[in-house]
Amino acid sequence: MSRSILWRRGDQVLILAAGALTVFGLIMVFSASEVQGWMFYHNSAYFFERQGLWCLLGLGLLWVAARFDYHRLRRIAAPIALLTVLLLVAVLLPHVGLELNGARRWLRLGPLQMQPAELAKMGGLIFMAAWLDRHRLEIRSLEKGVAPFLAMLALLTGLVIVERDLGTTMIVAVILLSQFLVAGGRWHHLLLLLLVVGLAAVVFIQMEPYRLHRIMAFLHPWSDPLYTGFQPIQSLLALGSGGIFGVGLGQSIQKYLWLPFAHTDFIFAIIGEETGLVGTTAVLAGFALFTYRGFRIALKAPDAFGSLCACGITVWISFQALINVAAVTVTLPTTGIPLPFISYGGSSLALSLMAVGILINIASQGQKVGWIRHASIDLGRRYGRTPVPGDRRRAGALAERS
Amino acid sequence: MSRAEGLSPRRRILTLLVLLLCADLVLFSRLVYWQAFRHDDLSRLAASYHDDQLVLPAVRGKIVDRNGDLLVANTPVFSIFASPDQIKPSDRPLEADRLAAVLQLDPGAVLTQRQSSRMFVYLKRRVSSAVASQIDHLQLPGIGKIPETERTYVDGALPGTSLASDLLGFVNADGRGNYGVEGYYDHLLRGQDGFETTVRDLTGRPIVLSDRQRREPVDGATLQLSLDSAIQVIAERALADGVAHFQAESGSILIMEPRTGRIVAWADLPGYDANLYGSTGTALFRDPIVSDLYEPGSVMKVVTLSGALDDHAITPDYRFNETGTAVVGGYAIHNWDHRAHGLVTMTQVLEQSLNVGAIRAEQMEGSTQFFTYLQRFGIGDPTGVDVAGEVSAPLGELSSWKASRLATASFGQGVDVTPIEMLAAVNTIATSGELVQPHVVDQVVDTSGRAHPVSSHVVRRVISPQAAAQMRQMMIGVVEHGSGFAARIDGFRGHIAGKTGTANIPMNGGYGQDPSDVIASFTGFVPAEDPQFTMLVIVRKPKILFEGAYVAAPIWKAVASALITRWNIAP
Repeated sequence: MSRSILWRRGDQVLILAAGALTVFGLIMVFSASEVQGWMFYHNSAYFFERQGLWCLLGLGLLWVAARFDYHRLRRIAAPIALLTVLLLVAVLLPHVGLELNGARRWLRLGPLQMQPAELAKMGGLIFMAAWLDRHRLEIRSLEKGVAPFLAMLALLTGLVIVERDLGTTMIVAVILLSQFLVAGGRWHHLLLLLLVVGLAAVVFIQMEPYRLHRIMAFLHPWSDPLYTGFQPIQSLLALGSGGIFGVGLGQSIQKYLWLPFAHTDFIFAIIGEETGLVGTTAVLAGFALFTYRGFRIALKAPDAFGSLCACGITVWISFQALINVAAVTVTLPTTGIPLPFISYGGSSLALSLMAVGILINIASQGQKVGWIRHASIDLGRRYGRTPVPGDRRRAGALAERS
Repeated sequence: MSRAEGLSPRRRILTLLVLLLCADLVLFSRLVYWQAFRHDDLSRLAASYHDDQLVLPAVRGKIVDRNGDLLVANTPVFSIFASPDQIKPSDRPLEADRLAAVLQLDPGAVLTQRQSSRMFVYLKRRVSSAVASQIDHLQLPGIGKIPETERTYVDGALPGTSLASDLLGFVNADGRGNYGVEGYYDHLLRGQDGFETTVRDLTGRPIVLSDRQRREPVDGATLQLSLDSAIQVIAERALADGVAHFQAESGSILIMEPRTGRIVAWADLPGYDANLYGSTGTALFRDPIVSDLYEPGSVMKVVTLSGALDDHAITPDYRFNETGTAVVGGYAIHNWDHRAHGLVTMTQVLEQSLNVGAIRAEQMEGSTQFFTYLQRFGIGDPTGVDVAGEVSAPLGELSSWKASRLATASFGQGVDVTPIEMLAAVNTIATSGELVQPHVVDQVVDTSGRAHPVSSHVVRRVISPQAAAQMRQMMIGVVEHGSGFAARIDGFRGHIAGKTGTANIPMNGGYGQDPSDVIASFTGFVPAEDPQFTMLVIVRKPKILFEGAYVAAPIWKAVASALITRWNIAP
């Protein structure tokens, strides 16, 4: 009973879009990683098998999240944030954190590794949704709203950036800032925050020579095609070789070690090579659809917390996809972040799927006239917390029954 | 609180949605740009990264003579290459020194090549198998050899030359035929190189499952020439002896079979060694038989009188008073001996090679007819012989010819021909009046062993058999009673038809005063009634005895005698 309600009310289009991207991602991970899998582990399916396991775990998380009343997240928002911060600190400790590709980003969890930075997005957006919901009336004030917001933003992004992960830092910042905007922050405050974040980014880019290299490689890839320009050039060669219809699934040549990170950050280039413009456009359209449906859920959410959560998740997935595709098409410098649902990488896939589960739960409690509309009508109350308490209770009851 | 405080949350969410979707559109346009508009050049560039093409060289066709004896052989040689990516950088300087010593190269240059990032560089092309085995003994990593072939030309009659060098030409370092038969038949001899394309991964290993394109090489066709090596050797030696004896500058001998036009011998002096073409002056590559124009002199009287005979303007016995001087267009033209010969027949005109008599015949025939016969004999046209570099000097329009030029043309001055052109014209008498195209290649044998014969080509009938028979008798008279005395061969008295020629070499609009500035020639065929060969001998600028009668005829006789013996020709 509850399952069918989740399916019917949980935004089928969004579920189908996320599902299609995930399935296509599994196929492409297999294709893009078979060469490396064979070369390093003598198992073409090495990465595929691991990604499959993470996918199952992710589906489990999705299932749990979809049936878990999201209102309860508000109550555990603070512990989640604390756990996130602890993990982010833990990964910095020697013997606990795992170093790979020159960055200490991984935590060992039994046979699997996970990146706490991925968790920072999830934990950060839930906590911020709860905090903003609670402080909606102060958010327009510089001292009571913007200053604490900036402090929390700085703490979270600061912990991520010391892991030398500028890409994830940027995404965390954008998620939190978009929530700030939706929660009613003033435009000039937002501009100020953007300025601060931008300045910080410039400083951090200056601090690390490899970030400057990436920017130089982005601006002038052909000046050093064998070193700094190698990755962007190989990415474009993969895309360009694909043409309109692609060279055929599994037929990529660039994955034969030519394109570094073919199955992770640059899997979109392999998609472009094997399935052509048709495939890349389909993937891009899938994410656009996800964006649209995600914000639709935010609009129909029964309360501000749900709306802010939905916005945070939607911005997370959408923005991360944009940044990834922008790097692959050499529209922006390389930042080293995975393509949601598709790139090889367990924490990213599992947490993305879990986020979808949260969205499904919010959607399942959505109303024809959501919190937003009530807020617009009831200007006197401004952002009334629970305009239709009955609904909330019913949703909660539903979750408890299930 | 009012709306003026800011946008509603709904508007704020919609703003985010629009921003993100706009970014999607930007990225979509980037994808269209890279994948649709840049597809071609990016694919090509990608291929340049991972496609590896190996050329499978075709073996150039052989050239053999009429008996199947090799004129050009393919010798196995080796090209030494390096795979710099397989050599440790620390080993490179030492390796470069050792290689340079064996290959006789500059160690610095070798080292530079070795340090390139490429996977394949040629160190030296076409070294002998001896050098290649020395390289093998060094057992250097990353060094390999590719078997190739090199042209080896048979030795000529003279030291320092290869046989029929001007006729055959040579093949340059790029594998292209230059000059002669190598140049003319390059497209058939060269064959078609094959290739094998493999797709490689970043480390250079071939991708096993990728499409492997392979095209087998098609070896070049073998050419069988009508040339007779033995005769060629005799001709080269006789020419060399004659040129040395008369201290001449150069000479040529050309022999063809009258009916078929098959070339039997094609000798030039000086020749060169085609195996050492790289260190040979390019002036020597030029083949005077097809590429040099000369004024043939009295040999042309055969053409003049044949035309007049065919036109019935004269008969061999036509008698007239020869005064020793003809005044044409304001110029006085004399005989070679500056003497008047009184009452002479046309046969005597040819026998004693009287210029005034030739002018007489030309005038009796009329300029239009004379000019027409020049054209019919092929004067001014290329013969179409299958050798590279043939030239010709077109006669132009009759209207542009002055009377004086028509007069001198009747005895072969003021008209330019190539030796092969002149031989083909005189050969018309040997074929009873048909102009036959000379050719060198008898048959083309393709790689599957199938022979494609080259058929003989009769260009046109020039004069009647009767006129040809009359001229034949007159040419026999030249040898028996006239200037061709030196070509007489015992046992063949009355069976040799010939004509001498001694032409002044035009210089700066006039003719040189130095008596050695002449081209002495003799052309004739044997046996006159059923000719087996027609031969032209040319000697340029002899310093001793200047005339065809004394200089060229004895050489002709020497070669003709040898040919008669070898071919068992009966009178």
